[in-house]
Amino acid sequence: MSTPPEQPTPSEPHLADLALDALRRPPGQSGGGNGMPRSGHRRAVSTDFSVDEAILVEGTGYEPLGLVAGAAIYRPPFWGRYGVSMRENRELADLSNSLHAARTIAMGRLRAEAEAHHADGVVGVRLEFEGAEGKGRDYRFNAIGTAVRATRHATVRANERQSDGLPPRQGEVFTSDLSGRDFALLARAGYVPVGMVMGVCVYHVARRQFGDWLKTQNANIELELITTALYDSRELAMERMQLESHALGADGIVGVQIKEETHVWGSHVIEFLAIGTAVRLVADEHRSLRPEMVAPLDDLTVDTDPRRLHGR
Amino acid sequence: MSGPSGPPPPPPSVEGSEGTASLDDLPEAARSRLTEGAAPGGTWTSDLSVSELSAVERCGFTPAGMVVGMTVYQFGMQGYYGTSGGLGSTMGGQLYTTPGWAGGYQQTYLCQHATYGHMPGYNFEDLWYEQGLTEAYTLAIDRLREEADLLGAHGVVGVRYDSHRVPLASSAPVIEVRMVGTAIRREGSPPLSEPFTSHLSGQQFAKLIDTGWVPGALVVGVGAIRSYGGCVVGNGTSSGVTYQYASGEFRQRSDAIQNCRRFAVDRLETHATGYGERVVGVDVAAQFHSSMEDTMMVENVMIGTAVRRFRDIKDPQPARVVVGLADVSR
Repeated sequence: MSTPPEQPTPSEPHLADLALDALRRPPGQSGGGNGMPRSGHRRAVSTDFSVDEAILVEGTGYEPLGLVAGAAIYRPPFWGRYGVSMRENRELADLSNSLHAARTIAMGRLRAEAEAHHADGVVGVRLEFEGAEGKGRDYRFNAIGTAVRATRHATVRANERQSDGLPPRQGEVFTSDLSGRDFALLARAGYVPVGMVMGVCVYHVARRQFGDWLKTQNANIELELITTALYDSRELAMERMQLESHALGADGIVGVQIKEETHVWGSHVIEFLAIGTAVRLVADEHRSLRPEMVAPLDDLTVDTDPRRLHGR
Repeated sequence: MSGPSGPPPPPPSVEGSEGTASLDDLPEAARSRLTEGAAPGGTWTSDLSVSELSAVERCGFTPAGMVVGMTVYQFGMQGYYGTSGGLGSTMGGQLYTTPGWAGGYQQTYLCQHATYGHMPGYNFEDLWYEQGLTEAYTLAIDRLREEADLLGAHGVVGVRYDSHRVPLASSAPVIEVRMVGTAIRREGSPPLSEPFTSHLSGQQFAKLIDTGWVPGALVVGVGAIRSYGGCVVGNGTSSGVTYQYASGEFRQRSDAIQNCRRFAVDRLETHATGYGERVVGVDVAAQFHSSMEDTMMVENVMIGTAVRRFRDIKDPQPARVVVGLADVSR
């Protein structure tokens, strides 16, 4: 059995023994006794962080405050799907708006819960479309993430490194779908998240004329009508996301995902969703991270992320 | 193994259901296997990967054996279960006379129509069901812990959990909750009164110990809310028009889901407070939504590992930025 690397002096007890000793004391008195504040019977704080994320976020000078969630059930406009000709390439604006509104409401609820924790922001947000239900085909959206707050620790570090931590508060909590790890890296590079931004476009893709299909079925040709539809809708969604980011005064957006889904509408109606985290540079300049190269011994067959451990 | 019987239970309290399982609870086969494993020269088993094993050993623990905790649990019928919109005008009366849900969260959404006689919508917390879900998970965790205890272990890592409905010959819903993990032991250390349990992998466990935290226990938080739509979603006649053409947020349903999550998180934190200051890796272990006509049921089971700080790392080493050279595609 090898010894752990962190053994300051030979006389110091083994970390494992210290850990087990802590479990023999009643909770709230688990402090090592070396001047650390005892937590008393403060309520436990829940996070969906993996151990890595918890360490990294804490290293950035942020403390977790608890899991926060936001839900929205939204009834789409009944006529949203209709009123468009079969041969028409056109956005279904009512559906675009309703999907955007539903997500915005869910995110608003999440922020409200974070606000109740006096949080600076929420990291690791997962905003998911969880299906459509009932006769009204109501959309169900759920957002969940961990609320965090900058500690005094972060302020001190912010002076040294100017940027670490300290997000703009602007009266609103920031949201970010970046993992705890990415959040820490971002802070280290001199950026802070400003908020999650998104653009939605629901588009009706025209059906081709039967004659066209017949004439060209043996040809190598681009299907311009469909290319245009998919191209247009994607660009529209991305542009809307950009505009949201601009309105927040962000410098850029990281981790953009473009998702293409048909949800409940069947063929020829597609939602394009562009979503990402808007960020702002708070340091004087971007600091490159200069990573080291390592060959990790983690084994790849086992996912060490506890969120995905379930049924490993 | 105890099931729900007799008078309706008090509101869900995780503390209250602790210790419901005793050592006598474990089946003979489990006791026999564990005794063999714990005997000198016995075989230890583990579902740790090789890397996990070395991570666990690096921080001074050795595997003691695989441990299992499971239960097959039936939820008592409370009259409303499985009904869908058929409750009609008796619902109001039932709502307040059934002890299982008295005292929980409830909210009424009045009919917005100018006409009269429409059913209001109700959201209410299903305390009876919550109690059952909490007990089922707690039984599984307790048994996991007892098995570890029999092995003379100090804790369990890498617990995997799973729950599913069992289609047994019962008209009431039945679920199976099962957990499997590897018990670990610190050679030469006296036993703990209660071995810790954790769903963290071997590597995560090692990192946790290195940074001055120790797992306390797997903790569970449960929420269950029923939402009866009333005329707002009306499958009836007069509200049909409203139903079809209205668009916008369905606030009653949003509230149901929002509160269900909130309750689950709150209870998880309450449960965890007895074991540590923080909970890591919280996962939605089970989530269930079902909609039938104007009725919706929402359930949430959250699970995580409560961790306790045992050492103040004064100057934690800043994490280094690295590029991994491992081939992820393999």
